[in-house]
Amino acid sequence: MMKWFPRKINLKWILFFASLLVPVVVRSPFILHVIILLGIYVVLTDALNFVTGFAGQLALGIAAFVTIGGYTGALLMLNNDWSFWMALGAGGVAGFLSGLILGVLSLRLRGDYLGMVTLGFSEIIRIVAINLVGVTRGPMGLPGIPRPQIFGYTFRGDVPYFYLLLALIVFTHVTIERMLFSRFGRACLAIRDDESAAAAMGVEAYQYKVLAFCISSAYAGLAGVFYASWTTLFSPDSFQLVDSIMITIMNTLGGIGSLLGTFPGAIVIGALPEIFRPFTTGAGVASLRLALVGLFMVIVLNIRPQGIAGMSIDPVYISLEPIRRLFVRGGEDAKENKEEAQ
Amino acid sequence: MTELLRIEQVTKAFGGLVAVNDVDMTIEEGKILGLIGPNGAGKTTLFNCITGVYPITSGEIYFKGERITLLKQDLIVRKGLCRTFQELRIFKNLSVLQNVLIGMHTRCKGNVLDALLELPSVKAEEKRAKEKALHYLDLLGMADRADFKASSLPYADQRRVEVARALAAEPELLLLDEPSAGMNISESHTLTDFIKWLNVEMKKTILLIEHNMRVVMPVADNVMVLNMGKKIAEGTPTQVQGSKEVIEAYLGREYVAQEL
Repeated sequence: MMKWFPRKINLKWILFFASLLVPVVVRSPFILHVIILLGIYVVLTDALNFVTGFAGQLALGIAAFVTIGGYTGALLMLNNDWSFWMALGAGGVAGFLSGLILGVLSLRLRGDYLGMVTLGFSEIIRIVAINLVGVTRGPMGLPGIPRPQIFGYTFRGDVPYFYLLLALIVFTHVTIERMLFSRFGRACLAIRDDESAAAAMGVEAYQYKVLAFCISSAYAGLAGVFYASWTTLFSPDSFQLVDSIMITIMNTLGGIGSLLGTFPGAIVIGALPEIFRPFTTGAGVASLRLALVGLFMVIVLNIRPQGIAGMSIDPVYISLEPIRRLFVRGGEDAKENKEEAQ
Repeated sequence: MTELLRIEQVTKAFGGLVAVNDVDMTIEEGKILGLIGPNGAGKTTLFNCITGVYPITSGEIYFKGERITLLKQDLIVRKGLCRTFQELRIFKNLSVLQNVLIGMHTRCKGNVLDALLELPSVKAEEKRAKEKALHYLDLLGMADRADFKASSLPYADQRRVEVARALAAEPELLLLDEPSAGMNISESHTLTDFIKWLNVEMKKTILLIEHNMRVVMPVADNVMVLNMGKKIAEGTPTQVQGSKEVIEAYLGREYVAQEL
């Protein structure tokens, strides 16, 4: 009778259904606002994890691609009256193309050197955004970025934005998973583990690294357009070096190269400063917040140096046996098992 | 017998250091050629030149009559040349099966877009690739450990994974770089049988770098000796073993003088 009841469930479904309920449960606008910010960090950590965790390339300039995507989307919406959806796509494409340019130039470098170049690129983009006043209005930023509309409905307030962001996270995860468990994803993982051995097996290592970098940048571009529309303001300060570093920290804490570790990583590191906020108000102690985050990192990474989720890309299943037992009487279950055995 | 690989006057210099100096070599189809020489003789460098890791300074390389000089590594693998490494170079964080699937990289086509769209043709290709990979693992008696993380296996099994990975690339010419490194006498005895099996049953032509004479002498049809980047001898194992130059290279000139 209760045969339909599953014995286990994939953790990602639990996460998905639980997050559907978030705006219902969370009544505080401030907390919902923070949650949306954390969601953006999840997308960005996923993006970074794709190039760093899966393809093994140290990239430290993800903020540059968020900025490029954000400005592309915002300018198209403001100056050319593009709809949010078209602008979102354009932001992704802009991220991809700028990733292509930087990737082609820099991915012959390895390790720290690549990190340096991406870091430098990130600063260049910020400085260009500040100084290209004719286009970006410089440090004043672009205000009044329009909100998304669909079938006459306008996204206003944090609740619809939350669901829009959820859709973006689902999109990110579905696409990443599809790419990861394919010939392309496998080749990326091989490059991460041993680039010259991968090349000896006929993997076009350079092309694959560039492509992984482009894909990562495209996700960053998407997140940039979402952020621009959500805050309705995009400026050179929206995403800068410190954000790239925070995202790297989130990725490290969640587990570099893990599939679901990006969630705990981004959420914990993103939420901690907000949690510590009430305890650290007042002059002199405000900066203590980040020090506490640092202390937390030191403690966690001492216990789990590989990060919360390690390097796992396997699906995580949660056993439903205890709940199942509540519904299924012992005798009935035994009978079912017997039937299954036959 | 047709010749499979021919290299002509290949030279590789790193700045002033000439690691491989004007070497000629041919391998006939279905044969095993042993490449021996003291440490630093340029054996692995020659390997790297053939497989496209290093661009050669001068000379020509032909595979099945086709010029493959200065081709990129992936194109060379596609033509049917695949190698193993002297030091173990499996993908440690991947499963055994995934390791072998990487070997099949050049034999599959699916790209990123196909994967994003989950095209049925790509799914079918992946399924076929997995079956084939399992087949290669089965040949090496490793099919039951397909889902193990590669780094969790003992050393000898990791070596087998490396060979399965190379076989999965479906090469006609298999280049084995010191397969007996780190093995004891009984293990290297098994290895000789295995190399013969690769040659006879799997119909692979083999270029074998080997330090261990116990391994190379019984299996090789021909042996070539390198010393200081130069070819100093070539012939059947017995011919080479008797060569004065070879004994000199290995044991020193004084030893030869004593013997005479």
